[in-house]
Amino acid sequence: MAKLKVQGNASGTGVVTLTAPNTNTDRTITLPDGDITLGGGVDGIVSTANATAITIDANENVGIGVVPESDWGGRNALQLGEQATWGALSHISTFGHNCQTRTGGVDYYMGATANEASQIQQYNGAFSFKVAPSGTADTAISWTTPLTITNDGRGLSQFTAKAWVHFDGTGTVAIEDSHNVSSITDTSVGSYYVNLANSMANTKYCVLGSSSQGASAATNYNNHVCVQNINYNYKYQLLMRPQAASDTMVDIGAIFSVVFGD
Amino acid sequence: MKIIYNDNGTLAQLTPAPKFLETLEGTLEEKLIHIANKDLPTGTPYEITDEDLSDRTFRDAWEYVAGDNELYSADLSLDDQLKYNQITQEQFDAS
Repeated sequence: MAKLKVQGNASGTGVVTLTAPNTNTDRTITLPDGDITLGGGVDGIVSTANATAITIDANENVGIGVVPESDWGGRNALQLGEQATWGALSHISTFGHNCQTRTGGVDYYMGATANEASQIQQYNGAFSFKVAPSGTADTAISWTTPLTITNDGRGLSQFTAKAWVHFDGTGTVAIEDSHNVSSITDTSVGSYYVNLANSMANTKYCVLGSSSQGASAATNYNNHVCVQNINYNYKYQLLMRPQAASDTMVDIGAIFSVVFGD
Repeated sequence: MKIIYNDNGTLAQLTPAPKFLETLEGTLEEKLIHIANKDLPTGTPYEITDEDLSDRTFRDAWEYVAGDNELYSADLSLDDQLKYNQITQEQFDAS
């Protein structure tokens, strides 16, 4: 039979049902290889495309407006156009531009013309923001990671504060609020160690400190908050010295400190 | 509650950060022991106390004297050392 035309009755609901001879619920329909033209859209999808818009390859990777690249290193991938990508393994997902993760987990440039690459990676509940200089297609990408947002809410970068604290140094120390600080140690009058929850990568970090004015006339000057003992990567010392003739240190009611660095 | 210990002949008071305490599990005493293990050198004798030490009179002359409840700070687990960035991933893998 070269051609089969199925046409419903002129009256009725307009639904055409194909029923297999064995059971009226067995309705598998096998269509021939090749393009199929539908007279209208599938429920929920409206298309006026006049060329291939979505391609699903043999690895079930999807390209929108493009045939997806073939090697995604075992990832499920969605590729939008030539350079925008979304790849996922069970424990890691990436949103990228001009980067394709191939077998071995190595990222490659993919654009037709040399261009910069960038990627947002989600791994272990953290975000890593990666960038790379311009490179040509099919060469491996060497990333730098200028910002990571950890699962416990810390921003790891050169431009985000690694830690900060606001505490009252009078009486028993009271920590009003803090970030990445585990404790404050009061060692004597006007002397406090700030203990970092997560250590710095090295001792070349930057500490800023300031305070409110002292409570008494003798200390009611612009206080010098001296930073000392930054030869540790897990703590540093703040000393409260009033800008007065006396070198005696004083307890201060509001002390502020911020840390930047690696 | 706070931790007191000897620091170069004077008494040091370590006050935990409330936000950090929130990240720990266990009783308050267990949390403070964890902080002592993290923030004090290993083997440091210390006590956990809720004594009111807000009167700062002669503060610089205060001395730590061991009491009945003295504890000693211990090493953190390797997992915690890695978590707190005290060791690198390479050091963790090699240990």
